[in-house]
Amino acid sequence: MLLQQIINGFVIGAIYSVVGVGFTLIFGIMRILNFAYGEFYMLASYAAFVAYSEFHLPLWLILLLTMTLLFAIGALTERGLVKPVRERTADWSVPVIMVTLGLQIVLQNVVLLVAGGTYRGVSAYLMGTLDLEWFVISYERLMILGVSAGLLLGTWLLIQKTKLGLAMLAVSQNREGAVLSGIPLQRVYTLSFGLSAALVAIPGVLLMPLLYVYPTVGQVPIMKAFAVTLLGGMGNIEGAILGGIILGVSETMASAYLSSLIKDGVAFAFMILILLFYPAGIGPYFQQIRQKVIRP
Amino acid sequence: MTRLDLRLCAVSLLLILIFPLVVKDDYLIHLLILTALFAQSAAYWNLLDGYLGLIHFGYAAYIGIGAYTSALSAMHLGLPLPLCMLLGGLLSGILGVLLIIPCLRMVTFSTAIVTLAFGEIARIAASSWTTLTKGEMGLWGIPPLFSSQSKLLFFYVGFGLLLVGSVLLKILLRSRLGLAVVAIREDEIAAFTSGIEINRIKLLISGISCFVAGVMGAFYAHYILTITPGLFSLGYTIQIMAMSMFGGKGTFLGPILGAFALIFLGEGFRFMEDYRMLIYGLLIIGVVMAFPTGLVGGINRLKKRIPSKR
Amino acid sequence: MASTLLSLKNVTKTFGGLRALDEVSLEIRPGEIASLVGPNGSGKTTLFNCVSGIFNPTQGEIRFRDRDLLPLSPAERCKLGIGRTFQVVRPFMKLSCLENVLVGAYFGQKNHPSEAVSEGRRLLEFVGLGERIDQPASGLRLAERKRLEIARALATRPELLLLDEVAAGLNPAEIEAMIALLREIHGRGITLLVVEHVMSLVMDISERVIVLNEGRKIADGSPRDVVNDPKVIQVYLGEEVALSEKVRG
Repeated sequence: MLLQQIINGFVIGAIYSVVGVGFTLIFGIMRILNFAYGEFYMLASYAAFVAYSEFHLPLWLILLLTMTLLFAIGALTERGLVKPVRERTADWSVPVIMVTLGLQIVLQNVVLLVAGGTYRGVSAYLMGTLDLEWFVISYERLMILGVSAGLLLGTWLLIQKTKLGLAMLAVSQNREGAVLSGIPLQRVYTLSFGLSAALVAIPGVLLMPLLYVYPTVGQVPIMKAFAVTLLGGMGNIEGAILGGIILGVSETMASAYLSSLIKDGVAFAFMILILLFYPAGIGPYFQQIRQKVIRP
Repeated sequence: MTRLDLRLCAVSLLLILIFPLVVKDDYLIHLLILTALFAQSAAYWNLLDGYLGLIHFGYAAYIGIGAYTSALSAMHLGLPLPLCMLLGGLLSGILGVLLIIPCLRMVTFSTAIVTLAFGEIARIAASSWTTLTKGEMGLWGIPPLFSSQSKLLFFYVGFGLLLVGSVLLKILLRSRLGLAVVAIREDEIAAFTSGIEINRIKLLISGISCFVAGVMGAFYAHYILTITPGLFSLGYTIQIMAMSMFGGKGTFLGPILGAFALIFLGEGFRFMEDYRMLIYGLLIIGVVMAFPTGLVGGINRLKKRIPSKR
Repeated sequence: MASTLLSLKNVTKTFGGLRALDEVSLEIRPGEIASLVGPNGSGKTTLFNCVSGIFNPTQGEIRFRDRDLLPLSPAERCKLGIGRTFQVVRPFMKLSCLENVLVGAYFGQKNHPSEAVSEGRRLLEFVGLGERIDQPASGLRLAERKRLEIARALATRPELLLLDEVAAGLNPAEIEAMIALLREIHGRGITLLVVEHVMSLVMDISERVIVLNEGRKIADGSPRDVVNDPKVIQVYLGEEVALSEKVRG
């Protein structure tokens, strides 16, 4: 039974990790909190809904199309909305946060006007369960776990192995130094914003059967994004991956053994508890341990 | 206090006194009372964030704590209302300080999210502790501050609180404590090594700011007479934050201007009911793009552009 | 009556795997001007940070007038009489010069200040910022910001002033002016411990030079002795010629 809960926790945790990575990525690179992040999720959900129930596209195609769509939306947001604000003041963190806030309101209400407020949804993408001796897992959940893990691996590889990833790391650690080294800041910002939106698009597609589709559905992922980002350390990608798992597992445990009503509260409280001991988040602590192991 | 400040005070006082006697629109009066509440909350949130630099995303929770504490003390303990409101403020203030203690060791944005988490926890607690708070159904039957039908007295008390709160805030900002607060925001390390006990001051300002939030929440409870856990939600904190930023974070009049601006902007489009929020969002984007430093900053810049007489 | 103002005993500071300070011991006597030199990364600023209280050493003792500093916060150490400036200047940008100095005056002194405003004005005149009293710190040039920081530190009435690379980024004329200012400050009875890379300043004003390398103290003596010390020459290989010229000249 316990193992079952842990497995379930891992599945939801993997999704939380993806949500968290996208959010913490933008914080690390631009030092802003993107309040419209949840709305990117919401748009992806709507797109997935249309693609699935109207056009009956296969899941892999839906994922691909939504990711591309949201990447474009993210990049456009940076170019069209964030960039003008960035260029007007030296200290642009606060105005940009405000602009994302405005965007959140606009997106929610545009969708409300166009699509109406009714909850829409589909039943699961995949049917059937895998029944093992020690636990049961639906194919749907397995697929979610697999796609999320793949996405996280892909992101990690992007950061560690590509030029863009290196540029992103550089900007997040030392913006001025990065500029002086010739890194095209504008391009990094735009691409990161697009990447962030593309990342949160996947949970938008995959969780659609679970959370349904309605204009304010974005409130859920943004809360999780905040929690995971904090838990993992602001701007810390690896921390976000770890943090997502921890949040997912603790939430599932709380729901199973305490009460599903207060599971969000318990997860948050657990997070604060961890922060008491690791104020910078668990990411930095984990990285410290890893360094000690590599170089004893 | 400068002569200009005194004149502003006098004019405000006069306006506040005669307004409700002249204007009989009940809805407008109600809106203004809420605006005064929001303005004060925004002003003291701004003290914490704009002046001290401590980002607080759980501020609405303290409004909620003050509201529920005051309401429940009045309903179950039968204490006189001013005392209940004071209790609401005190509990909020104490909890405000307690929450910041672990945050002192953390990075700035981490504090933002811890406070956000606290807000959520408080909301969930209010929602599930049904025996105490009646949960999502809401707590109703709260004894009102004034039993008369007219909103006149509420208007005076609401704006009176705003005026007193603003005056006290100005005095604080002009004092040595105010200097320390801004120094901490500008450069914590330099402030620390120049003799400012930064942690003590952060706790003190948190206490003050959350106390005021609690009192405003209590006032709200005894005005609206029904409160729900929604009071604790992030949405209200964001509204307060938006008012402060919109008007000009880190300025004195900014939050107050921002509160009036956002509430009346929101109302101004009530006739286009469906499109109201959409236009609201677009306006926020528009104003931020035009005045990135907030309304006050924008007004200052415009003032500089006006050519002086020769 | 202690004959040592500041003493460090076997101070070690590690950050993860990095040993920033390694068993450093030194003593500063009241009224001295001492310089702390060494290549980049040798631990000079780390030492300052330990003394002023930004963090504590991993091991070792730091005493000020024979009082253990380690349990004290930076603010308490400031009130005790330790003032400090920073390698990368840290003025309160949005505050005026006077307000910057007032912070030091109001909060950094042992006793409650009287006439803080007039004292602040006098200090600003003293460092040559008399014209800038009400201007915001953000409007000052680098050399002026450095002097503002010194004024702010002086407003705390320090007995020991820790100066971290006050000459960095200054042109020769400004360096001369800085040297003169430091002499005047010293003339008022304040002990100076100066971290510096600009050798002309070091050689000009120091009574004593302490050399750090990779966290360890490798030399401690009069400028002439230190400059001729083979260990020091080895560390400053490229500067050997310049140094020896200066000494002979």
